[in-house]
Amino acid sequence: MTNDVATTVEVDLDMIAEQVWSAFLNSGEDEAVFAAEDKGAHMDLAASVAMVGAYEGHLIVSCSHKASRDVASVLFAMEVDEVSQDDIGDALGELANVLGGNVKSVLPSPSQLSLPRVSATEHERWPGTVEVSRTVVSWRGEPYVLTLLSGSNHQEVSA
Amino acid sequence: MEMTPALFAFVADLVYREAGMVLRPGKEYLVESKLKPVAKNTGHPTVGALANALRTGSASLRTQVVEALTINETSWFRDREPYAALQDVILPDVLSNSTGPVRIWSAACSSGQEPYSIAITLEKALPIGRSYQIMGSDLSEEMLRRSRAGRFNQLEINRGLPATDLVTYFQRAGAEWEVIPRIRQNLSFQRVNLCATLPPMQKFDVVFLRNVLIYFEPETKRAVLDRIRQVLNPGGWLLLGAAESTVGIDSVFERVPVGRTAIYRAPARERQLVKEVTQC
Amino acid sequence: MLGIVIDDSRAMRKILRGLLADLGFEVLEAGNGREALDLLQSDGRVPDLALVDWNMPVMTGLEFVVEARKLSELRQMTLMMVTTESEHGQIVRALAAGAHEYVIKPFTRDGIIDKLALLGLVPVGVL
Ligand SMILES: C[S@@+](CC[C@H](N)C(=O)[O-])C[C@H]1O[C@@H](n2cnc3c(N)ncnc32)[C@H](O)[C@@H]1O
Repeated sequence: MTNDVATTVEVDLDMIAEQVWSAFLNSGEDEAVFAAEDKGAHMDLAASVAMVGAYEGHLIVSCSHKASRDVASVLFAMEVDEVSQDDIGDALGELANVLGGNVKSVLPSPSQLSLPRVSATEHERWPGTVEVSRTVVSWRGEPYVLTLLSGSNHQEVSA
Repeated sequence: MEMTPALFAFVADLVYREAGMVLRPGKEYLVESKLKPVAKNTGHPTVGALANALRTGSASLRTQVVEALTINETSWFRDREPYAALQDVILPDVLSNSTGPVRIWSAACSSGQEPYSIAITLEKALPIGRSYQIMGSDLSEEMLRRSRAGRFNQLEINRGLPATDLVTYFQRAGAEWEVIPRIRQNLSFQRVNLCATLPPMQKFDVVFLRNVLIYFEPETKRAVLDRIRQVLNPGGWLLLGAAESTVGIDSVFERVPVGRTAIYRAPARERQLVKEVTQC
Repeated sequence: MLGIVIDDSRAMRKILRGLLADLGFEVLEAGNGREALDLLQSDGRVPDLALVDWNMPVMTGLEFVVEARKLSELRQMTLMMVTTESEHGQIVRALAAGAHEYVIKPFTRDGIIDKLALLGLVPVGVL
């Protein structure tokens, strides 16, 4: 039950990521690098939003614990060691929300965006989905993997 | 510091000759930081090496350096008042004095926000049956490419474009927004260096010359204003940036206060042409 | 001037609050539309400006706009959506429901200020 249209849609994740980083995560010297090399590093956390409607899928941003602290510290304008677990969840969730909304606007509409969900990658499974697009942003020496999946897992499970 | 006084003087001279822009000593750090990406993209290990290569280098290398050092900051309906003046004062005058298409030149159009803001203003204000032509020009090929494409990203759209205009005059183009074809067909773009003899062009009713004179020295400003006047219809209008004026530079344009700003008007009948004395 | 920032992300609220505070606003915060309506009722004052996210739990920003427009006492409040929802149709819907302006996330400080200038809430040319 994968979405035919979806798999053929071109989504410029890099361009969207560039805008998001330049507006929200631009803290002077440490410039982000887009379309960075994918070294397949282990990711600790995944923040995701689901799209439901004319397009069915997920936008996921995953990163290390250290990277998630960097995001939270910039968004909350706090020192890295001051941010709480709660702050990290909030900040990563908002990052997924902003990326997801912009990605959705490029995909078949109308679709609805879910609220963001943040959890440890080891608990995340995306059965029945296909990867449509993927890119890596490198910022402050840490990779952030952005993945667009097509297909909704519950449909797949019941099929 | 690899930007030695000699190298800085060389770059400053280049920018002055090609764009009329004055870079004073003290801007070494700025020049260096803006040229770093150019050095990287053109395979020069350092900015110093890039500057040295300029002495013998290709025209395209010089262009890239000049473009990197010009400022392209712009936004939709910048300062708002010029667009109110266009609608309330200038258009009624132009419409009552001519019958053809209203012709407007955006003479340093950067990435296109200015000429398209003018177009949106005209779309709303022109009576049925009156058409318009807008020419956008800039020194930078990169800015012209972006202007022609008429595409703007989310961050650019947020800079002053009213949401009602966004949904009326733009359509989605992937992650960006694109001006609708109906408007774009009224615009054309070409490269014009304001500091050189202007290419032949049909006269205009209005010229927007905003936020570019500030980079020039008085002699250059005078020469640019002279050239602009020659492509304006008699009684044609000139709009400058908020920090710019013709006062003390050019006594031929009449200053017309409108709201908190001022616009300028060429004499109703053309005076004798003055031979150009300044070259920049 | 009084503003209210309605967004389910605390990080986003902090950013917008800081921005408005710099412009001289006193700022209220709510985590969703319902919370905002309750807060406004108990506070009693009418904000000059509401910055409203779209996707929030309990009551979305669009629902908030519809509700706020029904309340005559909130008529003076300027509503500006600040959201990642950015399809053409979504923007049209929000404007039709009564939103006065629309800022798409991600935004820069200048972008928000330009829009507030459009709405006459800050003078043109402030930075
Ligand atoms: C600050 S922008 C102004 C854009 C727009 N007019 C506005 O007011 O928002 C200045 C523009 O002038 C252009 N420029 C600089 N020197 C020029 C020259 N000698 N001839 C033509 N354009 C020039 C730059 O490339 C840049 O796009």
